[in-house]
Amino acid sequence: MKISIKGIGVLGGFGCGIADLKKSLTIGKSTTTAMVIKTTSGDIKAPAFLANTDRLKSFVNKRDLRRIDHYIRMALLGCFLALEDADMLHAKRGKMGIIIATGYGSTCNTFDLQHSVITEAAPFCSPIQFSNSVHNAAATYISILLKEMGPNLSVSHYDMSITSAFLTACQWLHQERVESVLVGSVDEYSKILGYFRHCLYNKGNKKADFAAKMNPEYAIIGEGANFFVLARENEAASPYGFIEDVKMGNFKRRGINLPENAAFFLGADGYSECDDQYVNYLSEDAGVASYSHLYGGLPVGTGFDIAIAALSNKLKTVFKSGDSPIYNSDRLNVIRHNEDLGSRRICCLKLGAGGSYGWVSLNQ
Amino acid sequence: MRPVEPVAIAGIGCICSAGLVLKECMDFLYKGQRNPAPPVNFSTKLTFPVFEVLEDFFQSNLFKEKNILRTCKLALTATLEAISDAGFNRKELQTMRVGACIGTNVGCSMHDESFSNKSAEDNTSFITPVNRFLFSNPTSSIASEFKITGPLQTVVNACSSGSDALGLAASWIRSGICDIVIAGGTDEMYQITYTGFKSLLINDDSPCKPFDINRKGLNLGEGAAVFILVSEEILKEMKKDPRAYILGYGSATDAFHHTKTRPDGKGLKLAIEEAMESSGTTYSDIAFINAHGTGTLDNDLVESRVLHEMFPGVPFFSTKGYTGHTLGAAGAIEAAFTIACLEKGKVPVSVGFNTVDPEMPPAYPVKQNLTISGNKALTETLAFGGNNSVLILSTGEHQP
Repeated sequence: MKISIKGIGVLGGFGCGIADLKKSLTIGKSTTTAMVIKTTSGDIKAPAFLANTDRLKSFVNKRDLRRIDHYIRMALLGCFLALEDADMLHAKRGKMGIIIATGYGSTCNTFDLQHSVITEAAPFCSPIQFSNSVHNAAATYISILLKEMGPNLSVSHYDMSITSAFLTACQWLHQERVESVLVGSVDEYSKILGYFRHCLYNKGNKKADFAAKMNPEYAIIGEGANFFVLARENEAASPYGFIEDVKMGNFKRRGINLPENAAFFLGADGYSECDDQYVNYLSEDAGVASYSHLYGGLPVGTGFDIAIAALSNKLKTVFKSGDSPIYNSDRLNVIRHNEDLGSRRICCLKLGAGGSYGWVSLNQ
Repeated sequence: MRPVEPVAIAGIGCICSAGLVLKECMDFLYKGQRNPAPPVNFSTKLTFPVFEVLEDFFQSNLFKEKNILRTCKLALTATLEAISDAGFNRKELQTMRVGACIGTNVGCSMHDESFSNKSAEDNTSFITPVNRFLFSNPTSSIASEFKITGPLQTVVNACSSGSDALGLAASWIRSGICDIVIAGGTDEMYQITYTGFKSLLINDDSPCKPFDINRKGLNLGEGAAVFILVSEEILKEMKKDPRAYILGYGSATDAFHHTKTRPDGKGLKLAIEEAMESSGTTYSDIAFINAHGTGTLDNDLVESRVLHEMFPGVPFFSTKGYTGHTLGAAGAIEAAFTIACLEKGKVPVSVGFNTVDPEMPPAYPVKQNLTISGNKALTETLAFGGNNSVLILSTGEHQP
């Protein structure tokens, strides 16, 4: 049994939908927005790759969006785009599972909520704000709007969130718990994260080696959503290819077994102290690419790499990589021009906090 | 859902306001005691009672991980008990393929007073507290403390997180990706959730009364329960008998409302059906049900109707009167209690229940400690977002 990718829904700094992602890959850049954080010591500028959710109005009526914040809107739009891409938006879907991963959760809403509880003379918070701050709020809206009553899971494990979501999605399909899974991830930009980036690079980070290597221009905060419709297939061909394997572990304690005959998409985005360690685990001749220059730094960035891998399968092409000192590109066989995928599989690899690793491999 | 293989539980650890280890908790429950009080772990002007772990429970000399959130300290304490109960030591764990799957709410929510909108506006550097927060969710803390090398997953399914984590972890054993999984749930009492539940008007200002006509809502609690799930191969290799089994797991969603239970109970019924089918157990095999029983008007009404319809005459109870609603830990704590009750052959009085609600069907929780026969039971959790999660559990060959 194979697990095929039936549809993809993405939004981020590169635009909205798989066509915008392809366009961004082709030209090799996305657009940043200059964000300003007001502080008592003056304004701080923090560039970010932001996502626009205007297209959500074509899927959900205005009334249903009244109480929905930007974070949840991004998740919803990612889901609808994936279902539309899979031609399953209006079709009878059978039993579908929903899995949503996030590294941070709904940070804007959550920090506003905290502010109102901690700083007000009488502790108070709005019930809507509170219920939207619960980590599974996005999954809730999705199940309600899609009227899906199958298994529904939200996971949050920082930079391993999306890999662990794929692990469970594949398990559900193998167990025949469900006929399909809508799996994906979402994270948003917030003032706190913008300020955190400022602290990391400009306020005397004690981890000097890390900070010195981290040129801020290669570590732009990103936000967005990436969603996938996965289904069991026995024989049918799948244009986006198949999920071949998902592995998680700890490379510092037990190393990594990586698949052979693969191109590697690295999750180096300038926010992990492990970004410079890919070189220790990849062979010299393995073609590698990093695309965080298109979607930014966010815990669920690997989800965008999976979307790019699926698109590469469909087009039989590996897109040129971003060139970044973050992952020691001078010591790796970086894919510097669009090239034929050939018979290779694609492995989306993330080396994360505490020595954790996760990879998702796709074949054609 | 086709029937699945049972997954062995080798050890259990549990900490909550009822006790610092599982046996202490059960002794407390069988005495029918409870001691809710206004929170002391944080400062607040609100006085709704909660169930906190009041003792200085964290034995820092036993752990490498120290500068971590209270939620993680609860999880590590329960994990150490579970590992000891299973008869493993730390070094043995490092030689096997061990994963961790833990449910939580507070452990993953980025509300932490050490960094905030205000501290950003004041231009205060907060690299250390943010990093501390990001890298110390309970699953990561367990992985770091016990040097485990397998897959990690942190489940944030609101109040069903703990039971979902157990159900998912069991599938990791069945599919062979792990020899052992450390699984369960943990959550601390925290100011934001405390105030948030008040905003929803579902807090009881007195000790909660699940299934009672005078119920006014829930009391919050804190705690953790952790299970050591083990493959048959490892059990044989180590010549150990399992303490219990996860026989089946089911989950389904209401697709109805964020905080209200679906009135027709359809999501809960679907979850029960899936759990029963996957366990290969018949409905008459269920000795008792450990209900979610929060003490809120809607939850208890829907739950009692579903239980009456699907399990007529089967005794049920809620332990939230003893522990409060421990949110992401609840499903795991109640699974631990369920197994302990099966082992003892006795379920505790459903504390807080005195007067029948005529709106409910003629299905009432147990009013005094009740001797039961049978070795299988069902435990269920309902959550914000309409999540419903059900576990079917049984005793094993090893009795603690």
